[in-house]
Amino acid sequence: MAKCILIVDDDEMVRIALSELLKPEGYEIDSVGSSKEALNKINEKKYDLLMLDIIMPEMDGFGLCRKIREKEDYTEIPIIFLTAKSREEDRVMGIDAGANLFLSKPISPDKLLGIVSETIG
Amino acid sequence: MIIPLFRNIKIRAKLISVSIFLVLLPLLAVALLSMIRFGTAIRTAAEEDLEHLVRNIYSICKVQQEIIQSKEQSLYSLRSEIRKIKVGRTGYVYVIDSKGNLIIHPAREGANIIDSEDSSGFKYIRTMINNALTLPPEGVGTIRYPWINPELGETKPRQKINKYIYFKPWNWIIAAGTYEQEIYQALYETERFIIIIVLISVFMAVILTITLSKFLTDPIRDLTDVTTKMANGDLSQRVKVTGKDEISILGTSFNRLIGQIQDYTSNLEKMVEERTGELKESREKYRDLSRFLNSILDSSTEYAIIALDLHGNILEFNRGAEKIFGWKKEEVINKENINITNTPQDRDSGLQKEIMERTINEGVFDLEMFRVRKDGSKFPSHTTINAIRGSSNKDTGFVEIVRDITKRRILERELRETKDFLENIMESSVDGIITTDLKGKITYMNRAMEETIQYKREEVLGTHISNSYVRGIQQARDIMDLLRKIERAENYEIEVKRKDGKVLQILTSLFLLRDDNNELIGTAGIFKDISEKKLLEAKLKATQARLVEASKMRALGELVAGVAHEINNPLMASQTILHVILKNLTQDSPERNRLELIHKCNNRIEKIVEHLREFSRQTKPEFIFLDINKPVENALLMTEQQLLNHNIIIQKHLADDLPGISGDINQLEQVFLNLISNARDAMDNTETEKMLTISSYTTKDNEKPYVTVSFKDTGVGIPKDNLNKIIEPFFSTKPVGKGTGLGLSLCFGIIESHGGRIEIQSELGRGTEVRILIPANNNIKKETLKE
Repeated sequence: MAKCILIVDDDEMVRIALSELLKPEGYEIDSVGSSKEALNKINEKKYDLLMLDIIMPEMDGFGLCRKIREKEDYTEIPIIFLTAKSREEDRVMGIDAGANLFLSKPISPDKLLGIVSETIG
Repeated sequence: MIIPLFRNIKIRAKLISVSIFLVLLPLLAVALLSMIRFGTAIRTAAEEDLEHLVRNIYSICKVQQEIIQSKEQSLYSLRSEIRKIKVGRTGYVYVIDSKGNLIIHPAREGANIIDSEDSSGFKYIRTMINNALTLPPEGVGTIRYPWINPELGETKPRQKINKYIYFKPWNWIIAAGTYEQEIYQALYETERFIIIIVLISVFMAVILTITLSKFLTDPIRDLTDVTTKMANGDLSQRVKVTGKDEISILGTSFNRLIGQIQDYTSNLEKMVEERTGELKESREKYRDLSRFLNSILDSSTEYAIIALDLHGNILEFNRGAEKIFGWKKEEVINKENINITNTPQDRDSGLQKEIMERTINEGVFDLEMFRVRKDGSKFPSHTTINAIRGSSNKDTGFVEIVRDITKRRILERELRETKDFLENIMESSVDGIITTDLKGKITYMNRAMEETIQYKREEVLGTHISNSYVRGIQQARDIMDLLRKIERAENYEIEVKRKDGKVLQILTSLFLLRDDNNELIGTAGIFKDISEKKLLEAKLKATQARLVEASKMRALGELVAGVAHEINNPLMASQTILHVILKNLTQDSPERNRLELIHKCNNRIEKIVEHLREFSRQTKPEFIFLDINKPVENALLMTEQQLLNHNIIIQKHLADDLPGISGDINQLEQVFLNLISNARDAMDNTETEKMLTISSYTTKDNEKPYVTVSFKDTGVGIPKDNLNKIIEPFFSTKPVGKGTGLGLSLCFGIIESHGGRIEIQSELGRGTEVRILIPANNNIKKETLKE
C-alpha cells in the first residue's frame, strides 16, 4: 500500500513542489494550506507522515503539532517540521511540540527524499 | 660873537650860508685867481709873442744883412715877407725908421707918421721912436695907446699894444702890434665864461641847498612841531617818516617813543580807573558778603560754624552749633573756650592748642575727631578750621566748621559689611566670576576663576580678557555686540585657554554693568567649566549613536530575516521542481544544460539567503566568563587546513596569563572566523610570503585593562578611503559572488555588544592588522548583557 503524506504549508508553491517531488516516488500526497484544514483532513484519513510548516495564519505549526499529538491515533505518527525558521529555540520548540524532526528550508530535494524514505520507507 | 649868532639862525639859513660860502668862496677864489693868472698869462704870452716876433724879424734882418750886400735887394723879399705877417686878427708888423717913415707897412708904406696921435692925442709914434733908440741892443720895448678907427664906424677907442725892437744897421724900428682887445679877447671871454659859471653855480648852489635842505629841515621841523605839541599835552601826533636816513630813523624812534609814552599814560589812566572801580566794588562786595555770611550762619543747621579768637574763645556760635553741641548761643559767646566741646582726653592732651598752631601754619586744617555735647555725650565729627587773616596780614582768629558724622560712620560700616559680604559670596562661588572695564580689561576675578584658568588674579588684573579666549579678540567683540543688543546673555558657550594651554569648554552668563546714571561701566561674567559635562555629552551622544545604529541594525536584521524567510519558500519550491525535471531528463538532453544553469542560480540565491539569515540572526548572546584564546583556537581549528592549503603560514603568539573576559563564545568564534577569512582573501594574490600572525595580550586603555587579539596579514592592504566604509553592511571589495560584505559589520556589532572595539591598521601592499579589544572582566557573571 502506498504511504500517505500530508503536507501542511500556507504557500501553494511549496505544496506543489513537494507534491511534484514526492509523487513520482510512489507516495500519496495530500496538501492543505492551513492548520484548520489539516485537522479536518486527519480526521478523514490516516496518514503515515505529516510535514508541517510552522509559520501559518491562525494556528501555527507548533500548535497544530500539539493538537495532532493529542489525537490518540496520531501520537506515534512521524511529524516533520519543514520551515524557514531555523533558530535553535525554534528547533527546541518544535521538538517540544512533539515533532520528530526539524528541517530548515531550503533543503535539497535529495536530502528530503532520503529523510522521507528513512522515516516511512 | 659870530658863533652864537650862527647858532641861532635857522638850520636852513645855516645850510644855505654854509653852502654858499663853501661853494662861493672857492669858486670866487678860483675864478679870481684863474682870471688873474690867466690874464697875466695871456698878456705875457701875447707880449712875448710880439716880442718874439720882432726879435725874429730882427734876427732875420740881421742874417739878411750879413748875407746880402745890397740893402735894396734884401729889402724886397724881406718886406714882402714882413708884410705877410699877421698878428692876431687885425694886428700886423711894420717897420718905421727913426724919422717916422713907414718902411714896411701893410697899408701905408712910405708915409711919415711921426706925429701920429692916438685917440687921446698923445704922439705915440714919436714916443716909441725915442724909446726905441734908447733901447739896449736887442732889447724890446712896449707901448700901449688907445686907437680909434672912425672910418670903420668905431665910436670908442680900443687899446693897442706894440712891441718894438731897433735894428740899428738899417735904422729900422721893427714893431708888431695888435689890439689888446684881441689879446685879451680870449681872456675876456674866459672871464665872462667864468663869471657866468660862477653865477650859475652860486645860483644852483643856493637853489639846491634851499631845496635839499628842505629834506633835512622839514623832518626836523616836523620833529620840533610834534615835540612842541607833545610838550603841550597832545600825544596823538606822530612824525611823518619818509626815507631811511638818520633823521628818519630818529623820526621812527621818536614815534615809537611817543607811542610808548601814550600807552603808558593811557595804561596809567586805566589802572587808576580800575583801582577806583575795584575799591568801590570791593566795598560793595564786602557789604554783600557780610550779609550773605550772616544768612549762612543763621540758616545752616547741619553745620556748626563757630568763630574763635586766637586763644580759642568763642566769638560766634551759629544755630547749627547750638543744635550739634547743645549749647545756647548766649551761654557760650564771649564766655567759653572751644575746649568745652572737646573730649576730656583731648583737653588734657592739649589737642586744641596743637590744632590752632597747625591751622596758623597751614591756613586750613581738617580732621575727624570726637567732640562732646553739653550733656557730655560723645559723637564723631568732621572738623575744619580756617585761620582768619586781617587786612594787615596778621592772624586774628579762626573759623571752625563742625559736622556730626555719626550717621555717616554707620553708613560706612554698613557699606563695608555689605562689601565684605558680597565679596565673600563672590569668592566662595563655585563658578568663576570676572568683571571687566569698558575696554575689556579685567578688574576682578574670583578664586573659582583662578582655579579654572590657573592664573592668579594679580597676573590677569588689567590685562585684556580676550587673552584667555581661544577665539581671542573676535570672541570679545562678538560678546560685546551681543550684550549691547540684549544686555544679558545666558548660557553662552565659549572656549577658554588655561594657563597650561589646555582648552576648556566654558558656559558663561554675561551682563553689562551700569552705574546709577545707567552709564555703562563695564561687563561681568559667570563662567562654568563644562568641559567634563561636554565630554560626557559627547560620550552620551556616541553611545546614543551606537544604540541607534544597533537598533537600526536590528530593524534591518528583522527586515532581512523577513525577506529571507519570504524567499525561502519559492526558492525551495523552485529547487524541488527543478530536481524533479532534471531527474526525468535524459543525460544528453539539450535542455539539461539550461536547467543546470537554473539550478546553479538557485544555489546562489540559497547562499545569499543564508548570508542574509546569518546577518539577521537575532540570537541573544550568552555571555560567560571565558578565556579569549578559546574562541581563537576554535576558529583556527576550523580554518587551519584551509590556510595551509593556501600556503599561508600561521604564527601564534597567544599569551598564557590573560585575564578573563565576559563574552559569547560562539559569536567571538564567528568574528575570528570572519577575520581569518578576510585575511586569507587579502593574501590570495600576493607575491610575497603569506603569513598570518595571531597574537593575544593585555593592554590598558584610559587606565582600564583590556584583552587584545590581533590578526596580522601580509595581504594587499586596505586603502585609506575604504577604512571607514568596511564596517558598513554590504560594503565589499570582493568580486561578486565571493562575499556579501556582511561579515565585518556583523563583527563590529558583536564586539560592540561585548563592550569592546575593533581597531584596523593597514598599509597598501604590506598588509593589514585587525585588533579586537575587549575589556577584561574580573566579575564572574553568567547573565546576558542587556543591549
